[in-house]
Amino acid sequence: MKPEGGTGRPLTRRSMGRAALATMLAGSLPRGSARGATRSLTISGYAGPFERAFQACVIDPFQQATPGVHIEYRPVMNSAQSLALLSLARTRTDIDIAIMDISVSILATGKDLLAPLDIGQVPALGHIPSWGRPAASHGVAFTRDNLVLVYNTDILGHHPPTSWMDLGRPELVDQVCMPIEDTRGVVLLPLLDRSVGADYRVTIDPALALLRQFAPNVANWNAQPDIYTLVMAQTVALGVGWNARTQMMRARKAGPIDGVVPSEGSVSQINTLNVARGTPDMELACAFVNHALSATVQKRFAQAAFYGPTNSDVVLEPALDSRIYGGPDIAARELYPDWEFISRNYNNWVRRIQREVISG
Amino acid sequence: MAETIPPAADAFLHVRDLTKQYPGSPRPAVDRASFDLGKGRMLALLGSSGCGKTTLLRMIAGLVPPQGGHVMLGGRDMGHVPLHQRQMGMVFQSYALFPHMDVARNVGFGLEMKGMPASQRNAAVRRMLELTHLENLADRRISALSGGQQQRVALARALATEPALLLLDEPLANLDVKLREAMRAEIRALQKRMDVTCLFVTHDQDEALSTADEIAVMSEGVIQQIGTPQDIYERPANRFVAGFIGRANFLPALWQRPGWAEVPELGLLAIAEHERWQGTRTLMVRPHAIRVRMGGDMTDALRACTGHVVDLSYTGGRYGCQVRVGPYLMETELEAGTRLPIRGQEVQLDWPAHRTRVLDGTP
Amino acid sequence: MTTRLMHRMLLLPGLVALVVTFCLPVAWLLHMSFMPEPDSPPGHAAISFHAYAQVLEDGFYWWVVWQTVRIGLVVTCLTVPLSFPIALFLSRSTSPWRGTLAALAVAPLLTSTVIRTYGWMVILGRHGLINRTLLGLGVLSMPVRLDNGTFATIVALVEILMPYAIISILGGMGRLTVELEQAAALLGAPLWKVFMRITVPLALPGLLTASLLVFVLSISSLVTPQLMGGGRVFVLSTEIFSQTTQALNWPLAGALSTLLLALFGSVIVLYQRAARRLEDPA
Repeated sequence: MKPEGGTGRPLTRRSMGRAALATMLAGSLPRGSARGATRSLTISGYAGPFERAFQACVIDPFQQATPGVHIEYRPVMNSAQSLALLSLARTRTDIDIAIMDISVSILATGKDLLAPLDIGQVPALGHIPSWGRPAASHGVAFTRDNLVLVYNTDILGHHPPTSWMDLGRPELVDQVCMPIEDTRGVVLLPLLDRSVGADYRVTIDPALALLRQFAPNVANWNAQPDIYTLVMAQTVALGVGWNARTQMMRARKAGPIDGVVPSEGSVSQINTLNVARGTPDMELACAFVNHALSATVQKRFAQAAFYGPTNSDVVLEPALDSRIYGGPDIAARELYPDWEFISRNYNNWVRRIQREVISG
Repeated sequence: MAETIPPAADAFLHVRDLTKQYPGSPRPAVDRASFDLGKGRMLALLGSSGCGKTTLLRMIAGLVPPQGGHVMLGGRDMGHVPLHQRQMGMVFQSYALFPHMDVARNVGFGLEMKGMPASQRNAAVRRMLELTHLENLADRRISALSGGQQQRVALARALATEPALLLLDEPLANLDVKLREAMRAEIRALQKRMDVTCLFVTHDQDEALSTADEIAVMSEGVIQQIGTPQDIYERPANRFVAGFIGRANFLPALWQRPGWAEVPELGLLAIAEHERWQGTRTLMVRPHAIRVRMGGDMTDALRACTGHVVDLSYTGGRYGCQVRVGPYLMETELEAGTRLPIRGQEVQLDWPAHRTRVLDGTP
Repeated sequence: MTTRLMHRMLLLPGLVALVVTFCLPVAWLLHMSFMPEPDSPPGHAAISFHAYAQVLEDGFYWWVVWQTVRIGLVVTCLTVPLSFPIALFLSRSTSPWRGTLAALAVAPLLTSTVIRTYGWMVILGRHGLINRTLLGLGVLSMPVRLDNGTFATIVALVEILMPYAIISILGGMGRLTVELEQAAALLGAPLWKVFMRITVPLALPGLLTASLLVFVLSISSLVTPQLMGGGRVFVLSTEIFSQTTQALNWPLAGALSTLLLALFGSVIVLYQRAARRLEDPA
């Protein structure tokens, strides 16, 4: 099921159409390359704090270590946009490396948009555990980020949440924010299923039933601008969000916010590095991925942005470790789902959440 | 002035001291306007633009709230009567026809508002359309009508409810000259036939003189004179009215002795015996009152002034003849077909003493 | 002939702009909606009705269309009557403040939708102005949810769309003059009859245009339902957005967009029929 690369294909009407659109969309964004740089890479990834940390902890040291190389970071809204850029740019290979959620990486691999990585070219692959290199993906896990309960410490400080079931606390009517029409919802379903002894691969009905129980507490199902702002602004008291952003906000003392990895354990959202198929400088791309996966860079990134490292050699100081994983007991209950299964069911699950929980 | 106003006892429309000053304006648009109008009579409010005549009409209609004074119609104080109960028909200068209704519905609108049943209403509308020669246009749209037709529709609409008072705001201003004269006669005939009391605003003195029973001449917000067209024309109350209505010659004069006044640098002119005044006043003579004689014998040299023809112009049926008499330029008129002087010819002008009108002030 | 050619040449820049900015994207959208579903391998069948079948077979999308139309109708029925008195006032006012008032009426257009929407959150929120007032007065014992839902979306849309409605109503009142209303009053029509028989019929072209504009803008609005809906408001635009950016099902997004276009088209046909009837009542 692996058709040969996109470059040698005869020009069909469809590919011509794509090329035309790609030109339209990308024509105004010239391929970034600094004057004087002989080799360059363009990386698409999340905007905001992630971008700043990535630039400082990953890109800058790489550029310093390899003179004549220019790395351009193109911020995008979400993984889906990276995927869109990858598929549009097939004929131009604008994006060399895409940072994407693992479920999207699996999609991109299925669409044959990614180049497989070879341990010979990326030796650091040997230090990534198997959950970080699923067979269905050509990408490799760069960081992980737990789904946590985000809460306002002014409101819930005396009685902090500890369990996913706290989302249904009776006193929190209209004070919970559940932005779960995306990966957050999709990873929450297996977790809730497990908490009642069910298996997401068989049915997600128990998880949906639990979500319906929480529904009366929910003020909003999408967070604008984001859950962290809403919690800090006391618009809601409790919500579901990602740990790294929460811990960053807390460390920056941006507001009365904290995150808790619930006692039932959590699921990590996995950010993967993906090299685009047909990238002109495969060697440089592999060198960059290898650099990003190295223990030094991973540790630095974790310290800067509270993302969990994927390189098993990294040892974090205990305080940081418990901020990221919620302590060894809870970390032991981490759920490592079958991402290929999730990726296949992603849209269907989001649709079921929309229909059976939100508008139901 | 007072003698021209009909006695208040039979006044149907009674207007007293109506005053309106718009904010930011240095003088009132209408200043204490008063008059009475008998039932079935037609009064023309005559004046140049900006004299306040339209404001006065709109105050009577209730469209502009007055700052002082009152209006009574048929013995009823109109002060707090809302528009829809005033029983006044109005023809706006723009006609204000409802563009979304056909001719018949425009004409029948007032009756519909009165709650008249449709069958009865249709008959009334038909009669009104016949009276205004619109019977063939009943289902025409307003935009498909000519100016004259629109005028008739506006009139028919205003009269259909048989209002106590008909108000016309420059009703003929938007029509061409020929049509205007025909419509003028038609409005008058209709007003007489329906015996409706009528007030109309115009800046056209011919229109006022030929159509109205009475004329109120307005200037700078003040009614200068009210009277019959003859009164206004022959016996203007002041210099303004005399100059505004028709053409006139004005000469400064000092009273000499009963029956005689002296015009500086011209000599003595005969005047009515009863006139008497101090200082300089103005004598007015209408051009058509002056006889122009050429080389005839002077029966009464003292009553004639001698001058030279400056200009002669044909004005259709008659000639206008300008004669320089001393320092004064006199306008006279000559019938076509009579013997005409030539430019520069010496002529004598004379007129009967009773045609000389003495007015306040200097020319 | 040459002047005619010249006139046609003058149309050219606009035509080119229209083709580039409208016709081409719409054509591409249509093309996309007939593409096979995203998971199928590349280079497959050129044309597929799969996305349309998905839309038509799924009751959820019918419900979404109904939500879209319902919100559009409610917003139109609130916005136009609320804007009409303001437009009338502005068209009648002779005050020296008229210009300022007109500017104020359209001022909401000058602030960003996002800012205005946050303003509404402050007013409608759980701890917002309304809830606090009602709690303080003892009318409520528990705050009610006014934000994050259809109600909040409708409120915000009405506010945002009122300037458009005011401007269109003002633009369509050309035939309505104060004299016509005065004439009707003098003919014996009390105020409300003047309003119903003269003011409304003559302002109808403007009211109709305003209704069309408000309806179209409200069913195509995305940011307001997203910000004010709290994730509960499922309309075509939010669904298209999530299919495009989240689910990456572009054929489905294309099919839903085509559905929205068809909705626009049918509304415009209705509008033109009504407008023609206005022009020619017979």
